[in-house]
Amino acid sequence: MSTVLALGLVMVLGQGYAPPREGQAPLDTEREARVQRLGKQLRCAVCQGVAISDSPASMARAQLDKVRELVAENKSDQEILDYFVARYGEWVLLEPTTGGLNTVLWTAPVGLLAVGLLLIWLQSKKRGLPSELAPAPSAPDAAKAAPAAPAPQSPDEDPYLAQVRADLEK
Amino acid sequence: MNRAIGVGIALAATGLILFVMAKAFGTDPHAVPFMLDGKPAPAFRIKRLDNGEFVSLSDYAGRPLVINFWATWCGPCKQEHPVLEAGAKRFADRVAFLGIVFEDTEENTKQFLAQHGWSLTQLFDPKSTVAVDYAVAGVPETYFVTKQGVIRGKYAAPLDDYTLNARVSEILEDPAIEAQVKGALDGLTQAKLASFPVPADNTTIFVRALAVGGQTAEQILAMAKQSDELQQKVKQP
Repeated sequence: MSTVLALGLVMVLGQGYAPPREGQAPLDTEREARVQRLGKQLRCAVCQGVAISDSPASMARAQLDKVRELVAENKSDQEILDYFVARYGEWVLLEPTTGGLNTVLWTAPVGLLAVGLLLIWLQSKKRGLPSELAPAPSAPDAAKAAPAAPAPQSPDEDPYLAQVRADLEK
Repeated sequence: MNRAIGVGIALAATGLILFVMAKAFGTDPHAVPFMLDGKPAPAFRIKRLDNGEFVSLSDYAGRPLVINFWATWCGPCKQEHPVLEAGAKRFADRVAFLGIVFEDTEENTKQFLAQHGWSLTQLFDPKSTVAVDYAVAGVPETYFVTKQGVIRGKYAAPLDDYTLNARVSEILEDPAIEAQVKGALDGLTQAKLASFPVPADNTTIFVRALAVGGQTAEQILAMAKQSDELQQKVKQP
C-alpha cells in the first residue's frame, strides 16, 4: 500500500519512480520519496551518465536498493552520499560539490565573462567608440570629464582617410 | 598599462585552461574511479553456489584473498576463467580464491562451471549487494586483499597469468619475494635492456610474476637478457 502511495506521490511530483526489487520491503511514502530524490543525484556505475533512479540496469537497481537500505537505517542524506563517494569518488555525484578545486569550475564561467566584459570595456575606452556604445557617465562626472575627453574625430580629420583620399585623387 | 593588464589577463586565462587540461590529460573519461584501494575490504555474508552454506569475509581472516566478480554472459570473464582456475590451484596453499557471481542465474553458472572447471569457491550475490559494497563497475573485476583484510587494488579487465602472479605477489607481502623483486629490478636498471625498461609497469609485472614462482633475482635477470636478445633479433632488418 505504501509503495502505491509513494508511486502516486512521486508521479504527481513528476519525478519518475524506480520501485524496490523483489524481496525488498517498500518504505513509507516520505522515505521512498527521499530514496528517489537521492537516486536522482547518484550516477549509475555501469551506465553512461544516467542517474540510478533513471536507469533500467540491474546494477543501478542494486545501487538504489542500497540507498533504500541506508534510508531505512535512518542515515542522513550526506551519510548516504558519502557511502557512494567513498567507493566511486565524486564521479558518482551527478552534481559536483562546490568545494575545493570544483570552486574553479563553478566560478570560472562568471569570472571569464567578467574578464571578457572588462576587456571589451578597456578596448572601447581606448578606441573611443561612439557614445551610444560607450558606458553613459553620470551627469556630474560627464561635466567633469567633458574637457579632458578626446573629441571624436570627424572622418575629414582622420589622417588615414585623408591619405586614402589623396591617393585616390592622384 | 591597459595592454599590460590585457596580456596579464590573457596569460592567467591560458594558464587556467592549461591547468585544467593537464589535470584531465591522460585520464580515461569513461573510467570509473576506485576509492577502496588501501581500505578494509567490506564485510559480506553470502551463499556458496555448491552447497548453499553461507560464507563470510571473516572466514578468510589472516589469509590473502583474490575476489573475482564475473558472469557467464560476459565474454572476457570466460576468457580469464582458465587463468583463475590455474591460479587457484597454483597458489592453493598460500592464497584463497573466491568467485562472486554477478547478475546471473544459479542454473547458468552451475552449468558453465561444470563444463569449464570449478576450482574456486563460488559465491552467489543475487541482489548485487556485495558488488555495490565493493564498487563494482562491470565484470570481470578482480580484487586483491591482504591477509590483514586490506584491499590492494582491483584489476578491471580479464586477467592473464603474468598479471595474476604479479598481483598475488603483492598481497603475499613476503619479504623473501620482495628481496628478489628488488634485486632483479636493480639488475635491470643497470643492464638497461631495451625490452625491459625500469621503471615500467610491464617490467615490474614480469619480475613479480617470476619472483612469486620461486625464481631468484639472478635467474630473472638472466631470463630478461635472453628474452631481450631474442626480441632484438626479431626486430633486426
